Amino acid sequence: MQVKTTTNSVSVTANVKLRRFLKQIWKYKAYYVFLLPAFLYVAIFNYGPLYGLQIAFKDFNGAFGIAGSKWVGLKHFESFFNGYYFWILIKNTFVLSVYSLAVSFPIPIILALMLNEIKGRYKKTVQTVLYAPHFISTVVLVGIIMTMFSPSIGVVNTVREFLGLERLYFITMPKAFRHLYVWSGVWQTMGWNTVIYIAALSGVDSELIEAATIDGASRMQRIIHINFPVIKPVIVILFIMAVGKIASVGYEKIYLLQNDLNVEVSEVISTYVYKRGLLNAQYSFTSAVDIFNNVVNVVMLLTANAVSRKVGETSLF
Amino acid sequence: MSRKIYAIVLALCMIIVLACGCTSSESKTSSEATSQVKPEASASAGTAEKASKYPIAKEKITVTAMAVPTDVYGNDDNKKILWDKIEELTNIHLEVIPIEKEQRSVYLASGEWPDFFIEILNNSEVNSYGVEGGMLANYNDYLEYMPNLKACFEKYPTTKKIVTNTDGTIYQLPRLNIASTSVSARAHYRADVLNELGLKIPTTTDEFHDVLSVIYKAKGKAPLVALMDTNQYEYFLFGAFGEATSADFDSIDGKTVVYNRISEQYKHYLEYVSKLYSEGLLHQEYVTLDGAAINAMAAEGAAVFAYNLQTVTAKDFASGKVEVSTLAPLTSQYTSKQKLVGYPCYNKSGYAINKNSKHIKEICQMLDIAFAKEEVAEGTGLNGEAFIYGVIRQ
Amino acid sequence: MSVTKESHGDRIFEIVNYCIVTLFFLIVLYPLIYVLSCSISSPDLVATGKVILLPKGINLAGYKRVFQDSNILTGYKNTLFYTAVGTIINLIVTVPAGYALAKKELPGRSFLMYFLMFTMYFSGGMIPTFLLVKSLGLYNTRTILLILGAFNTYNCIICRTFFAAIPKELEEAAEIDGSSRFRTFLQIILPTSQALLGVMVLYFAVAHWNSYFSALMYTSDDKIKPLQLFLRKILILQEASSSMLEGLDDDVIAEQTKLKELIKYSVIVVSSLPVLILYPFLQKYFAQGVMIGSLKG
Repeated sequence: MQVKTTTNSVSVTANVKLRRFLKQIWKYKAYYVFLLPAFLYVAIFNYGPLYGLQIAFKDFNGAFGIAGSKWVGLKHFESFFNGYYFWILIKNTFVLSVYSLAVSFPIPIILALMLNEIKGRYKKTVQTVLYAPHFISTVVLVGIIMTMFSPSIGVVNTVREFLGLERLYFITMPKAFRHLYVWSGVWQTMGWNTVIYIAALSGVDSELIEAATIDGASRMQRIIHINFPVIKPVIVILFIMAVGKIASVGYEKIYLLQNDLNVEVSEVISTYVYKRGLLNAQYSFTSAVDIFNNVVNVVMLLTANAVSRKVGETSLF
Repeated sequence: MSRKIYAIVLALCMIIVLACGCTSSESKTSSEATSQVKPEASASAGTAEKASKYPIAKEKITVTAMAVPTDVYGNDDNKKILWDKIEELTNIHLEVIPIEKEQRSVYLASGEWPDFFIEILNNSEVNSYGVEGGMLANYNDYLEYMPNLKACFEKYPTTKKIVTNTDGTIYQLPRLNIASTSVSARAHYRADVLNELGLKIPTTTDEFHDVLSVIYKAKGKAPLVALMDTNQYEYFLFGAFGEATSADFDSIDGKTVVYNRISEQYKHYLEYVSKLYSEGLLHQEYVTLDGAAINAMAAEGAAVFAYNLQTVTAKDFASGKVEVSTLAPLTSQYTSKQKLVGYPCYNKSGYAINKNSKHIKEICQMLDIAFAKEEVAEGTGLNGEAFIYGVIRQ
Repeated sequence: MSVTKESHGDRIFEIVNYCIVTLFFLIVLYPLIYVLSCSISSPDLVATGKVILLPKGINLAGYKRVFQDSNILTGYKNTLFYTAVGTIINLIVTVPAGYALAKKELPGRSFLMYFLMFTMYFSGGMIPTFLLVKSLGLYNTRTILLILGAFNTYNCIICRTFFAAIPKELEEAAEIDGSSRFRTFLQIILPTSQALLGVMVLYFAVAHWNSYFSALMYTSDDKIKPLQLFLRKILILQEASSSMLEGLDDDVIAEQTKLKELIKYSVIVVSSLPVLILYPFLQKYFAQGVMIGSLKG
C-alpha cells in the first residue's frame, strides 16, 4: 500500500508540474499567437533549407545533389586555414571591422543627440540630406572616392596643394586604404543610422526636461542626464548586434577600391573567397568559409552579451 | 500512255520548280536585320539540298533552351531574329527560358533542365554535370546527324581538340572565327599629334621613348596612359624586351613551365617603364585610370598612346577625320622579333544538350546549321566561309 | 541671475550645435549634388574631372535611356505594390513578435530567442532555399516577393528593446480596466510606440524598395519584376551593347560607350528620389513626448 502511494505521488508531482506549465502557456496564449507567424516563417524558410549546411563538408556537385555529393569532412576548412594568406586575411578583416565599429558606431549617436536639439523645417531638410548617401550604390560611391582623391583632378589634393602640402596618390597607398574605407562608410551610413536613435529619443518625457530646466540644468546637462539614459538600452543592444557581425566585411566595396599596390592591407576574407569562386563555382569552399565567419560572429556576440550582462541590466539574451 | 507519262513528268517538274522558287524566295526576303548584319544572301547555292534536309521536324515541335537574354535577343528585346529564321527553316519552335547570370548555378543545381543550354555552362560546370555527372548528351554519339560539324572537325582539327574532354566526350560545340584578326593589347595612337610635331612612327623602344618625350615637352601632359588593355594583357611593351609574350606563366616548347615575372625580360621591362614613369611620360595615375577617363583624355588629345581608342570621333580631330593608327610591335636591343598576340580563333560556344531531352536528334540537326559552309538560314554559317564579315552569334 | 547665466551657456551651446550640424550637412550634401550633376553632365567632362559641383555640358541622354524602357513603368508599379503590401506583412509578422518577446515572464522566452536568432547566423544557402521555394510552388509568383523577409530578426530585436522600455504601469492600468492582452497591445501599446512604428515602416519599406536579389532569383516573368531589376538590366545591357558595336558609325560607338557612364548616375537618382521624398512624411512620428499625460491620474 505504501509503495503504491509513493509511485502515485511521484506521478502526481510530474502531472502537477505539467499541468502548471500548460496553464502558464494558456495564460499567455495571446503572446504565442503574436509569435506564431514569425515562428512559422522562420521554421519554414530558415530551418527548412538548413540541411544545406552540409555542403561545407562535401564536394558538392549539382549533378548528384546535396545528398549524393561526396563527403569530405573538414577538407575545405583545412584548405582555408592552411592557406598561405590565412593570417593576413584575418588581420585585415578584423582591423577594418574594429576600426569601422569604433568610428561609425558613436557618430550617429552624437549626431542624433544634436539633431534632437534642433527644431523646424531646417531639421527636416538636414535629415533628408543626411539619409541620402545610404541610397548611393557602392559602385558610384567608389567612383566618387576615386575622383575626389585623385592626384590630378581631385578636390582633396587641390586643397592640399593650396595649403602647401604635396599631392598624394591616396588610392594606391596602403596607409590610406583603411581610412578611405572606414570614413567613406561613415559618410554613407551615419545619417541613416541616426533614425533609430531619434526614434528612441521621442520617448523622453518632456515634463522631465521642463522640470530639469527650471531647476537650472544646462542643455549639456539635460542631454547627458536625461536624453542619454533613455537611449542607452538601444545603444547597448545595437552595439552587441554590431559586434555579432564583426567577421563579416562585405567584398564589393573593397574589391572596387583594391589595386595591386594596396592589396596587402585590402585583401580580406570575402574578397579572397570571391576571387577563388570566380575560377570555378566553389560552393563547398564558400560554404565552409561562411560557417567559419558565422561561428566567429556568434562567439563574439555571446561574449559581448555576457559582458554587457555583467556590467548593466540590458542584454540580448 | 506516253501522254500520261509526259503529264506526270511535267507535273513533277512544276513541283520541283515551285519548291525551288519557294525556298529561294524565302532567302531573298529582306529583313530588318540586327544592325550589325550586312548579309550577302546566297540565294541559289544548295537550295535543292536545303529542300531535302529541311524542315527538320515534320510536325512542329517545341524545344526549350535556357539562355541569358542578351545572348539570344542581343539588344532588342523579344526579337530573336536569327532564331526565328532558323525556326522558319527547321520547323522547330524555340522557347527561350531567360535567366540572369546569377541564377545560373542555382538553376543548374535544381535539376529542372531545359532541352539545351545556350552559352550557360562554364568549364567547371561541364565537368561536374557532364563528365562526372553524366547529365549531358555526348555529341560524339550524334555526329551522323551533324555532317557540317563533322566536316568542320576534319578541316580544322583544333576545333575537335578544343571541345573534347579528358574522357573523350564532347559536350559543347566549338566556335570558329576564321577571319579573326583580333589582337590583344594593340597600341593605338593619334596620328594627328605625331604629324603635327613632325615625328616618325617609332619602331624600337628607344625611339618610342624619344617620341614620348617630344610630345610631353610640347603638350605638357603624359602621352602614354596605360600599360595594360582591358583584358589585363601587358605584353605590348613587355614583349619588346625578350622572346616571351606572356608576363605570367608560360611554357617553353610545350614542356617546361616558366614564370615570367621573375625573368630577365620582365626586369628590363620594369626598368624601362620606371624610366617612363619618372620622366612623366607615363600617366602618374595609370594604375587607377578607368576606361571612361582614358577615352575622355584621348578625345581631348591629352592621351596619345592607349589601347582601344574606339570612342574618339571625327569632331575630336582638327582635320575633321578620325586619324588613329595602330602601332606595330616594338623591338629593342633584347629582341628583334615583332610579336603579336591574337585572340584565339577557336573557342567553345557552349551549346550543351540535356541528356534527357526528347529531341536530341532534332536539336543536333538544328545546331549543325551553324557550321554550314553556305548560309542556310539568313545570317548563319561558319564565320569566314559563309560570310566574311558581320558578327552573328552562333 | 542664475537663469541668465544658464541661458547664456545654452545659447553658446545652440550656436555650436547648429554649426556642427551644418558642417555635417555640407559634408554630406556636396557628394550628393555631385551625383546629381554628373547624371546630367557630359560623360567626357565627368571622366576628366571637370565637373566639380555644377553640371557642365548638359546631357539628358542618361535619363532618356532609362525612361525609354517601357518596363520602367511596370517596375515602378510593381515596386510600389511590393513595398506597400510587403511592409504591412512585415509589420504584422515582426512587431507583435517583438512585443511578445519583451515579456520577461513568457514561458520558453529564451528558447524562442535562440530559435529566432540562430537563423540570423546559420543559413542553408541559396540552393536549398531555391529548391524549397520551387517545391512550395511559389516560384515566379508575386507572393514569394511579399513573403521573403517577412520576419527580420534584427528589426524584431529593436522592437523588443523599445517595447521593454514602456513602463509596466501602463499595461497594468489597462489590465485592471479589464482589457485583454490583445486589446492592450492594439489600443494602448501601439499608439504610444509611434516612433518605433515609424522606424519599422522606414526600414521595411526601404528594404523592399531597394531589393532586387530575391526577384532576381525567384522570378522570370517581366510582368512582376520590381524596378531595381530593370534598372540593373539597363546598366548591364549598356555594358553589353558597347561590346557589340562593330560595324557601326564611330559616332554611335562613342555615344553608346559614354552612355554607360552617364547611366550609372541617372539610375541612382531615378531609384532613390521617391524614397527620399517619403521621409518628411514620416518625420512627425518621431516627434518627442508622445507619451506625456498617459500615466498621470
